[in-house]
Amino acid sequence: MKGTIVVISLFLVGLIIGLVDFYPHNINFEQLTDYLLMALMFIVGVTTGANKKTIALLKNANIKILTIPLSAIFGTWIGIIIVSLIYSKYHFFDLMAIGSGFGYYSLSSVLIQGVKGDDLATLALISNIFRELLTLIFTPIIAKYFGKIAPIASGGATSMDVTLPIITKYVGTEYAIISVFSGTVLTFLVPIFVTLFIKI
Amino acid sequence: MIYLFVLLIIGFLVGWLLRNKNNWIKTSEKILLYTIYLLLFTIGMSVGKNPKIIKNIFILGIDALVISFFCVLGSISIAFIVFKYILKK
Repeated sequence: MKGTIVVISLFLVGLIIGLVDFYPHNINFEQLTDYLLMALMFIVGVTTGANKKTIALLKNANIKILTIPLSAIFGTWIGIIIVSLIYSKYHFFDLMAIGSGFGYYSLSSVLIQGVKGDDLATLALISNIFRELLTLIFTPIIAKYFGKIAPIASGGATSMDVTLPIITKYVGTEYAIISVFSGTVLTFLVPIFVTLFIKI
Repeated sequence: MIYLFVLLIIGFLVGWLLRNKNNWIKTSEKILLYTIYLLLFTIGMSVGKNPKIIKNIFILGIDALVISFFCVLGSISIAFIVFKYILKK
């Protein structure tokens, strides 16, 4: 939760500075964002490759446990198909990129901004924050009516950290490892799916 | 955009080679966090100086809620089916 507040505050402070036009005009922010984005992808790779827990979790994967992140992935994409039927103003693959943030709002919005610009990045940021919030708020109800793995699927990439405490509280601690596994797989896939869909 | 993929894969290999150096990993995770913070700050700034987005921020919020609602609904529906018909058996 602390991380979420930091992110929102930084975004808002930046927004206000941009709004009141109080920033050095000789800096090319688009170019700066491009370089930061390249650095970001490299560092995401390093942290994933260096994380022995990730590798160990992925090695222990079996078909049954994989059905949980797969539910989150295909469920999200089905949701996005419905959204694309509601809205004609957004391109289908842009919506797929936004959905494929799986709640990892910081990384997904930054990746989308680099290619698709500010409005889609803002949409990605807010909707992925909402995904985290919806999971935090509705996990008790989701666990009751949709079964024990549903809150894990709902949390997406956040089920490994931010939403993990509430999930385990309502589905039981025996699901903690599964929750971390699912969140880890999705976190790993976010940069891959997002860059794939913004390329199309 | 293909160079972003290449950077991701090179980073992954570098990270894998450095996997036994704990302080390296901690440092790279910190750098990752601050890079993301810095980027969100600059995105906030370019959003702030874009009157088109500021004017539409309310509509963007509603759209974002619709998107997240259906992503959650889709995910929990599939999870329900998987839990009931595959995992419980």
